[in-house]
Formats: sequence, C-alpha cells, structure tokens
Amino acid sequence: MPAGVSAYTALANVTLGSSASTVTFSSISSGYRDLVFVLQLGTSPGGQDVNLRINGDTGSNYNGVTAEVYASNVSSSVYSNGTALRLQRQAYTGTGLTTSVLINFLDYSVTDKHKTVLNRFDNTTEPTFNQPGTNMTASRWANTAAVTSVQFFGGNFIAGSTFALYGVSA
Amino acid sequence: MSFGLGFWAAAGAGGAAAGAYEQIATIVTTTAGTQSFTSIPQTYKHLQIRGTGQVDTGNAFGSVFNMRINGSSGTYSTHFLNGNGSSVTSSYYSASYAFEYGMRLPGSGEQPGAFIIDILDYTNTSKHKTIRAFNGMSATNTKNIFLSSSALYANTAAVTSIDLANYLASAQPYGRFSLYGIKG
Repeated sequence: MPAGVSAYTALANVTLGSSASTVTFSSISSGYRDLVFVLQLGTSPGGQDVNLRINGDTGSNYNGVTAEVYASNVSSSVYSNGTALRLQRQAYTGTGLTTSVLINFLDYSVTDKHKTVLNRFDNTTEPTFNQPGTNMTASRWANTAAVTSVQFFGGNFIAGSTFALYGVSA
Repeated sequence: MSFGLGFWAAAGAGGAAAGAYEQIATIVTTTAGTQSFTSIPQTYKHLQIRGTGQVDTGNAFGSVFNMRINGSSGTYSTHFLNGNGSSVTSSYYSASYAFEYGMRLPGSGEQPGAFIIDILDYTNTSKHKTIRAFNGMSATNTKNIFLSSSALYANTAAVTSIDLANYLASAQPYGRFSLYGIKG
C-alpha cells in the first residue's frame, strides 16, 4: 500500500434499537491487516462477563491475561482454555451506556499465527461489589485461520449500545 | 443480531479517499535484530506503530521490546505498568538506553505478542517527545499485559527515524511492524 493513502476504513457502525443478547459481525473482509472495534454499551443484568467468539468457535481455544482496577485495588489474572474470549469479567454497567471498549485484532487476516487481541474495557459506573472500573487484556485465539466473524455476548446489550468496526490496512 | 459486512468490505477494499490516518511503511520479517523506519515524513502530527512479534534474549537493545528514536541511546525516562497474571507491578527507569514498549515475550511458535505505540507531536522541535505503548501476549509460556508505558525522550529534535528490537527464531512466524501517520 503506498504512503499517503488512507489506512483506516469504517466498515460498520451499529446502534441497537432494542436490547440484544448477541451482536454478530459476519463476512468480514480479509482485505485489511488489523481490525478495531469501538463499543459504547450497557449490559443488563450487571455482573455478567462480556465476551466474544471468533468464527463461531465454541472450542476451548481462548486464553488471556488481564490487569484491572476497582476502587483502590489492582489485580492481574489469567484465563486458559476458555470457550470465549473474555473482554471483561463481571461487567457492571448500571442502567446507562457507561462502558467503553476498544478492541484491537492484530494480524487478523494472516494465517501463519494465532490471533492476538488487545482490549481496554472502561466502566464509569461506581461499582457496588468488586466489579472492575477499568481493565486491559491481552487474549489469544489458538487458531491460525483468518477472522471472518465476531460475535459479542454477555447478558443483554441494552438499546442504544453502539458497535463500530474499522479495518486498518498495512 | 447479525450484520454481514460483504458490502462495506468490498467498498473499503477498493481504496478509500485520503483521510487523517495514513500508512507510511510496513516491515514483515523473519530476521532477528533491529528493524528500522528511516526518513520518516514530517507531514503528520502524530505517529503510530502497530504490529506483532516476539522478543527473547539476544536482541540489539536487551531482552525486552525496545525502541530508539533518531539512533539515540541514552535519554529515555520510562514508567510502566505490567500485569503478569498473578500481580500488577509498576516501575520507572531514568535515562534508560532505550524506550521499553513491552516485556520480554518469547512466545511459543505461532503465538506472538502484539503492540501499539503512539509517538505524539513528533515533528515539534520545541517539545520533548512523549511515547506511549500498549503491549500484550497470552502465550503458552508467557503472559503479560503492559499498558501505557510512557517515555520522555529528552530531546526536542523532530523524529526522523525509529529502530525497533526484534528477535525471531527461524521457526517462528513473521514479525510485523507498520508505521502510520496521523494528521492534525
């Protein structure tokens, strides 16, 4: 790709008109190098893990490491051989669109490596238990296939939640 | 709810109009050592580097993800926050010989780490240069998440070149480093 050409392309921008238990992006082109999802959402009920699955894979192929903070506490944890990629454990988002999520899929379209996903999950609602206010996670999908679909799930995404997808060329 | 992207993908793949985020160069390599971006255009406001790779002992700047600006080896002050799966730690390096943008991530075969680095106001010659990085890996043998490692490059010169340490064994997949310019 020559220098000077736009490398950040908006692929989709979805606003939920009503609550939904899943949101799926399918038929994702392999014409980019990275994918970026930007989410503004609320979930109901609170306390649900917010996850995604790649290419419909329900196998035990997802691993991740997280560092998170709630109130004055910081912690780090891992999940291994999970059946979904975990963006946030026990998300608590109150009744509004108080959570923002930035997700980067690096090298999603190449087929010689597992897929590494970096995400930030930030919640502005004051937690009532030990729900994290902000976290950062590195996850790996143990599969070399190109990513062609991504499904988000975790409780119900409330009406007004937005899901934007961008492709980054290289 | 499901949203197919065939239409949007086709439109995007055809070439978008010039925007505020442009690719400058990409390096894809299986070679251990230093990867360099040189003669960086001075026509953007910020730079971003995105990529995947692995770093083990034996690279040019030490056994972590390191980078240098304009070949400088002695003026980096770095704060970092790291989660390794059991605890979160923070630290500070004063006047380090390179900017650390990630922990040692040897990975395992086809399991790379990933990184995103922002270099702000890189052409401004009245400011020191500020860098931030987001790096992580969840490999079988290494798990680290490394956020907002920030560095003060105590020099007001415009950024014209960037060197990145890279270590890849021959059996490992390609490392990738992409440099982007952001207009402002």
